[in-house]
Amino acid sequence: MDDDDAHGTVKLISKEGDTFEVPVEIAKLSTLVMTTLGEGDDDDADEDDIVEIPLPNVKATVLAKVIEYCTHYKDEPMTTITTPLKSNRVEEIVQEWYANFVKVEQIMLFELVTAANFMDIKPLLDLTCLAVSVYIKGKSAEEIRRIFNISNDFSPEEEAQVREENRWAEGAPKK
Amino acid sequence: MTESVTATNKPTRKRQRLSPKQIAIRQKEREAAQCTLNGNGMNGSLPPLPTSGTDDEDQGSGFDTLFGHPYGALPYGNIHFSAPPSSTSSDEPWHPDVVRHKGLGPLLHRLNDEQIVSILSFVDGPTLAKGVVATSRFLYVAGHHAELWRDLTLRRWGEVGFEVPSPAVSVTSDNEDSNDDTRNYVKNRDIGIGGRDEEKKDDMEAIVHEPTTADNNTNKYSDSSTLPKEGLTTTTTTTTPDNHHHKLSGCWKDIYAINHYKATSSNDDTQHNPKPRHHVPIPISGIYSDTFFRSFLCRSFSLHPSWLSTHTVSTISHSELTPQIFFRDYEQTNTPLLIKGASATWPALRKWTPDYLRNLTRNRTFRATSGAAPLPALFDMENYFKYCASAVEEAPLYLFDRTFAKKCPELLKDFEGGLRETCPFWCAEWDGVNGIDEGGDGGGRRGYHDLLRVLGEERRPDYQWLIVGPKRSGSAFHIDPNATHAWNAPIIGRKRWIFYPPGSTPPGVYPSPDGDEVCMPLSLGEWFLTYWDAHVERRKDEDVTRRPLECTACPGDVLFVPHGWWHLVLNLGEDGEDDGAVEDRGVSVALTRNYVSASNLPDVLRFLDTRVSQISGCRDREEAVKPEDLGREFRKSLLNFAKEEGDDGSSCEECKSTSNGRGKLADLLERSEKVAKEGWQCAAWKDLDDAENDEQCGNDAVACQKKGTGTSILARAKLPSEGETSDHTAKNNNDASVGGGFSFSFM
Repeated sequence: MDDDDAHGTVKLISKEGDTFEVPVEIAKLSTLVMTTLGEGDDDDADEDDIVEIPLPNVKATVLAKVIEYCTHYKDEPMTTITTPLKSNRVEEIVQEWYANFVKVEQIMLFELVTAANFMDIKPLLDLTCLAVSVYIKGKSAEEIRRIFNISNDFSPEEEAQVREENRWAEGAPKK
Repeated sequence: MTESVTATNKPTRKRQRLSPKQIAIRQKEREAAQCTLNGNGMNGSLPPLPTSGTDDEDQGSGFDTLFGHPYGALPYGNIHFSAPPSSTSSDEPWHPDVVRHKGLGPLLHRLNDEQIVSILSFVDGPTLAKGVVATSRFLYVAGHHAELWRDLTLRRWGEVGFEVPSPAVSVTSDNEDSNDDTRNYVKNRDIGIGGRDEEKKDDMEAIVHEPTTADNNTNKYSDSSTLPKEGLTTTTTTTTPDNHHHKLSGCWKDIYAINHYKATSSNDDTQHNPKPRHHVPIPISGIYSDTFFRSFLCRSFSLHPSWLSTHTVSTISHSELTPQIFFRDYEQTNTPLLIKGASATWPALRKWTPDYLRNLTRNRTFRATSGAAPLPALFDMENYFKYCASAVEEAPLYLFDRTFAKKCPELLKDFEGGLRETCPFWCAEWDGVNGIDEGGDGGGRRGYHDLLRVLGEERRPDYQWLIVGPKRSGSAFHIDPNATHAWNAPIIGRKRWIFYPPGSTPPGVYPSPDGDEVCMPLSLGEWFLTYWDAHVERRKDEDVTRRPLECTACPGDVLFVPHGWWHLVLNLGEDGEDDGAVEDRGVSVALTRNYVSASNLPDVLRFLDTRVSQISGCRDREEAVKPEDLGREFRKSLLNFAKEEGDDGSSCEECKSTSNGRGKLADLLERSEKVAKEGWQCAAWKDLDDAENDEQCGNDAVACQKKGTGTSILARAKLPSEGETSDHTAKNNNDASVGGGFSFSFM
């Protein structure tokens, strides 16, 4: 471990220009941050040198949540999400804190997916994708359209063909 | 290696400082991600796909495919050429990405396709089939993404085996004229029978070029200015006239469906579950997505003749080869060699057909893996051949079985005797009667081939494999494990080989400085499509010793793969069409063994001592010597073996007179130890402190960390199952891929 890592912080700059100063230890959960920082091999680098990382894709509100995630992760790493999923319910797959973390508005949830992807934070990406998928699991096409406000752009013939082809999936036990 | 994937327990090893160039690249990536509608086409680690040609050939279609994308998806760049359909409903504004916008809704459309696929990867099969794909046209395409269904299938049945439906039979006429619309349609039927051809669509024609036949002089490419340049071109010189339709056989969704049906039917006698139907893709125009197109492209690319035409590997006819020549000119100089006709007399060559193999191995299962798939799969031969016949995917499951000899001793008999006869230098009992100076000390009393055998069958690392795979499968660039040499004999089907010399890293491959991690495109298709031009440049390298070598090995040939050489292997299928009609899938069956001999013993010892984490072939078997013990145990067993065989000079008259009282084997070991201590003989391995970490290393170590375990789209949405699922699976995964990005560990 390097001394630099232990003491340093990094400045994450949101889309709107807000600066969030975060300990490197915590921000490192983001592979993007970690690779941008590289390794402080340089003899000249000392704790005064705080790196600024612009994140033009990430809004301040979202970035705040991301940092909250990373901060908590340091103390309680999230359970690894593996498939097949044990359950339909997020609280049965990850710890309570994390299950609550994703109980946010849909818009924020999707922003978190994008942010996690951009900042390359695998556990957060997994968690948020899982949370979105919960909206989808077990739902019919009509229900999915309703939830996500999607229009049905199939022609009647296409729709019929799709339904016919996939009848095997209906009435199937949960799996 | 998979241990280094999770962020929380990243090993603390020296990382490169980012150069200004690397920081600039990062910045560009971030900016690019900001610009695009949905992030498509801006995967920072891969160049964007070339656009497919439309009317104007000069748009430069960089690739040919066997057939159009089944759903009509096009690369993202094509969005710039899109035009509103003639009949737009007047009240809705049109823009190029409307299908996506409407199909995903205001929330989801902010995510890019990779993220959509990530989300869908958590959804179960039935919901995908009855809910997601029926939601909208865009979700229809996304929900049929092959990798999703592959992973669902493997997770559920990979370990226990699953049935592969027979490929659908296409009942259409062969049309010479691509404009002919008269085709036979077969009504959509239950899986196992029938299939219907797709209707042609304008945008699919944009991808698929008109066939040029030899006797057709109206060749629109006859103008010399549009003559094909080497590599990927706009002309199709070998596609068949049929290339505008294809078989709808065997997609993963069908496999999932039929197995799901079997599983659920047996549970519930009263309910009559409808039998699954073959998936028949509905063409959807207006979808522009590198995510969906790239993986399709990588599995269905045409094999361009120029990829297959060069022959630069040393070649010798078996009748001209003597053991002397082999040892002196090839094994000891570490030079690849193609021995024509070496296996021609092996019984396997005439006996092994798919039917024979099926019958011989009835009820036994074999293990198939793929760099892209999350889990290995168990197949019996019957189902595996069916899979080969129908598999059209980016990184097919490749059957690599190391226990075939035990499972089916007849298979071993079919080649072992032949090997001893035609390639005595590759047999342990060969006694050097011909005076070959293997050890450099006046001729060995015993052959020094396959030294690892001293550990015994159970304890030694894996060393021999039966390899079966569909056409277009193969191995991406890798170096064989444990610094071993290898020989490889195709029995059915030909193989295309590309070698790069030790230390001369192939294009598109990014090893970390100590070789611990290697990143490369996940699939062969991706490599050919992305790096072919760079490869052609490398053939002209000023330093001749760094140039690649290539050849095609046919049944009857045996190839010597010296240790430390990078190599890539592509299965070409059986004789005949190299590109071939789509119907020609072809299967490839080969045998291979890895070995240690006097020529690579020093490097092997050094490897076992200094690269413990890269040792493979022994991690997932209880009885095998563990990597950390292998160096020590190997030496112990060598010396024991020497003693037992009387090769310690004590009881051998011959030795007493020539040796210094100690046996040749012990001598060999001692000499090798000395060499090993001084450094590597082969440039494949460098030590951290003696290599100048050139910029490429640094750059690519960074890229490497980002890519982690392979670039499978789904890999980003799920964590590796190693260590979390059963131990068996975990170790299998560890074993199957040395270094995260590897497709396969050895060939």
